[in-house]
Amino acid sequence: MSGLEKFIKTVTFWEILKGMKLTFSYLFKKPVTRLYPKERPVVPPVFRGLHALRRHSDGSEVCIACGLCAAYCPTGCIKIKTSEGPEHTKVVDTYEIELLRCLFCGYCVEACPVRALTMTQEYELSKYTKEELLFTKEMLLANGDKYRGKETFFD
Amino acid sequence: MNFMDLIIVTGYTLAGIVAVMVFTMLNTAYLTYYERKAMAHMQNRLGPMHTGPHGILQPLADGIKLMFKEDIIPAYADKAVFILAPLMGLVPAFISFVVVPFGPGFTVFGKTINLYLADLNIGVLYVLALSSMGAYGIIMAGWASNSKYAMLGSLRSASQVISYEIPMGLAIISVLMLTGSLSLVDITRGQEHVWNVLYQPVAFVVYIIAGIAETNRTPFDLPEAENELVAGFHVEYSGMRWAYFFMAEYANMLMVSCMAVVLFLGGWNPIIPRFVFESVPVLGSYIGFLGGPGVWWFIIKIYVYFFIFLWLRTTLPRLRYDQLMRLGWKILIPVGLANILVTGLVKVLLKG
Repeated sequence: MSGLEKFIKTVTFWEILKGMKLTFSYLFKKPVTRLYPKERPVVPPVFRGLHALRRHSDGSEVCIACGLCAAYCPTGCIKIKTSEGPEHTKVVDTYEIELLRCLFCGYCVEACPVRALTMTQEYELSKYTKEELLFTKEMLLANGDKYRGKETFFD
Repeated sequence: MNFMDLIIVTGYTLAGIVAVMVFTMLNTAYLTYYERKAMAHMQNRLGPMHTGPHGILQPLADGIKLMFKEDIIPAYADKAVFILAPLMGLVPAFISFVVVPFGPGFTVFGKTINLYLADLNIGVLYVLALSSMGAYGIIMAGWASNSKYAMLGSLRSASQVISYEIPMGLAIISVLMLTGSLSLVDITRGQEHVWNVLYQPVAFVVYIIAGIAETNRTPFDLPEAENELVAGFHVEYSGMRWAYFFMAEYANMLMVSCMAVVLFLGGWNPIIPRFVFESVPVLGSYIGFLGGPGVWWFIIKIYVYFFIFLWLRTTLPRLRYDQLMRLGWKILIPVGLANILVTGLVKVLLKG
């Protein structure tokens, strides 16, 4: 660039005017903001949201209490207690997921040998107390019933 | 003058004061909305949307929130100065609107009502003096807060305001050389046919830059550089006291816009020239109402000029401190002086 051209560009604020033209053109573009509580995002079926325990078609739980999900969990947020039931089977006594620790990686779902555990499209998980975010077996089964027959994560 | 006349004059003056105050207050509130909306759309966002349709009640909500917020005075602050500082910023910003000529005035019952509170023969000087008074508020706030960030912000602000007052004054002088009067009303009347911006484009550019620096706006917002000084001189302020600084800032911006409109953009004179009204048949019927000078032209021009503030804010990054000082002292002041010289030369040559 010659000296004269540079001088003229400096004096006429050429570069600044170019930038101003760009910002002005954006004034007429469609904003990308989504007005969240009114407009909801489309959640894909493979979304890793709240966990769910599934049931067989006869209503019994799929979970065989192997404890692999708890073993795989990187943050150790799954607590599972088992005992011996009738006919020498293993029964789940308590199954708790502490969502405040969970990082929604989905390893528990991948580890499950019988696909008893899955993840659903629930993403609005803010609560007022810590206790509300400690999900027990009943709550997880209820969530599984809600998503029964629908395609979920890792299906 | 008898007693009745005195009451009428007093009532008329009080009504004028209330009108100007309401105009200024409403504008300081709604300029924030204008800024947030315009900037948001330039950045592909929507801006405030939830309070009222398209967030139109957002300034009101902000005001109510700020009024009920806790008002904290730091333990080691100088209390008297701390309380006084926001008022020192706000009051000069508001009382400078006394001289702004909003419109040409109209006649009711044989009495002429002027749309300005006072036609001071030193109007320009008065506005400049009050705009420098605002710096006291900033310095006092920074000193009284007893915080190093506030102190740094106020020092930066003081030096910036003092530096940029000079190019602004020089830009204004070249306009005054054309009109030969310091009264804002006379300056507006002098631009009935040609606006001063056509005679003084260089002074106008100098005025825009100095005006932005004077009001501490981006790209010259070093005094309140959010990401280095937290908030500058008003870090320690909260609640309504903080809101006073904010109102002062927006009132100052409005004042700079008003001055730009009066000095360069023809004040209350129409944007669309008269011959356009006469030649276009549809507009012809409105010539009596819209064709002449009026308040609406003045207000439209203010908002158009204010848009430059927002536009530059979205476009440009912040300057470094030495760049700011170099631009002020080494570029704008020489350019302003040269402009005065050329204006004087042309005036003398045209006369002779």
